[in-house]
Amino acid sequence: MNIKVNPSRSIVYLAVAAVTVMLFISLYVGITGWRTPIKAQRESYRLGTIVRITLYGDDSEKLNDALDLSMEEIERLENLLSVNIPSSDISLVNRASGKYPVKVSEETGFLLEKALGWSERTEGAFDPTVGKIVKLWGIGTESAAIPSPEQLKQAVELTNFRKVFVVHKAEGTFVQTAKGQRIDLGGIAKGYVTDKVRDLLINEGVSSALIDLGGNIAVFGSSPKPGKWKLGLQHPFMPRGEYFGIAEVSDVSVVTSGPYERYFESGGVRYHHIFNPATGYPAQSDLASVTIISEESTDADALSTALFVMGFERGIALLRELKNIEAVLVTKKPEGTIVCVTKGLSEAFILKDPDMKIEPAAR
Amino acid sequence: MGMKRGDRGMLKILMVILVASSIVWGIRFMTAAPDVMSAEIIQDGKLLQRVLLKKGDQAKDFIIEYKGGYNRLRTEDGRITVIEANCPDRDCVKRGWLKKPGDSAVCLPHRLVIRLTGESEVDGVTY
Repeated sequence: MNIKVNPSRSIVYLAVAAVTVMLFISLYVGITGWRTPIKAQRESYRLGTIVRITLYGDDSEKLNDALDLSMEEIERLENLLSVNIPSSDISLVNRASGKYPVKVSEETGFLLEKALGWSERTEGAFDPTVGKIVKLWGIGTESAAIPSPEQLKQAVELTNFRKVFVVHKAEGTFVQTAKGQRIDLGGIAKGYVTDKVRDLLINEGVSSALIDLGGNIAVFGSSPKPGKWKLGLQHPFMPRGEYFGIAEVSDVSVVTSGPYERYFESGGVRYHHIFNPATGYPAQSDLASVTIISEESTDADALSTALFVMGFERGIALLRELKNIEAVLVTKKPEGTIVCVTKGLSEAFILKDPDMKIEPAAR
Repeated sequence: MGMKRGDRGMLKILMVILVASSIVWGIRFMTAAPDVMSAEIIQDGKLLQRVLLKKGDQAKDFIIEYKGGYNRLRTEDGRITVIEANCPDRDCVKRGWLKKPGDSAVCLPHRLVIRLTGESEVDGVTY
């Protein structure tokens, strides 16, 4: 037996099949994409910055309720964690420094322990007791000024995370600090609040959201547009809102730290807000910006600050040890601006600035 | 070319799908929102006003006040900027012209956000 297939005929069949499949897809996309999800957005001034939460779903009332709850949650946590609110847990701890242990909420205790863990891991590049230094400089306030070397020396001596103790007792969580120490969770609190809002939204049954706490972003669920969420990374040398690259992500937090975010100028010198806990001065970093991508925004927030202080070499060395943490490091080198992307992110990162060069991080 | 029965049936089905698909997409394009750019002026989370930005428009200034502070905004030729302000850092002024959808300027001391509406390439910008 000998089956003969007409070659031209089989090509026609193939073509017809292909066209049919394409038409089906077109029809499917046309109909399903029709009902674009409802978008609900809330923008407010909280945590000393602009907070913007965007939700997508099909029930506008439910989304707006979730937005109300999110804003209440942010306010509640700010009242616990802000160093600028006199009745916060942190302010109570700071006022009792060197005197007695202060009972704090479970959440404050948890976050402080998280902060101390990262302090240990980064050998003090991140340090929640940096508060005295932050206060002396006052960057971002009307009274920003260069402190005297004596003042800074004293503040640096008080900056030591090893003198903070979080104790869990039957009556609750207690925090004790050394005399004169000032805790400031500015480098981690926004991340923590981001995580808490994400958890709340998931609990409320929201399926897709973008949480933006002053450039500290977390996304979950599917993006309203085809593909993953596209997050621009702030260009370190351009005005706010201009980005040098895009990270295509889902179900993660992305946090960028750089000296451009807050600073003041005096005598033609720019003093930025990311301090080196060891010197008391704005960190002299060979990095122009650090972006961390991780599941938990708390980690991304602390690490982006720490890596900026640590600089490129130490930063890369730490990244090598950490699991499930991806990063984009921008360095200024004599040959130009180099963008270093960790391996797990290389497929998901798109460089937009043609003047920058990309370099994979050895891992 | 000779056609069999099955081929004709297939062709008919194809035609039906093609027509249905064209109708669906035709309606989607016809009902799509018109591409007009506007700027949202948001203070303390509240939308104060929406300003239409049209190509060829003459320069026009207006002031947004905040507790004794102010930002002077200028619209011109389809774009908007903070031309002057009395905030301490003047980040909003340094931002320059906003022209692309999604572009935004922020004045933290005056709790002011100016954002251009429309489809942006990105869902957000980290900083």
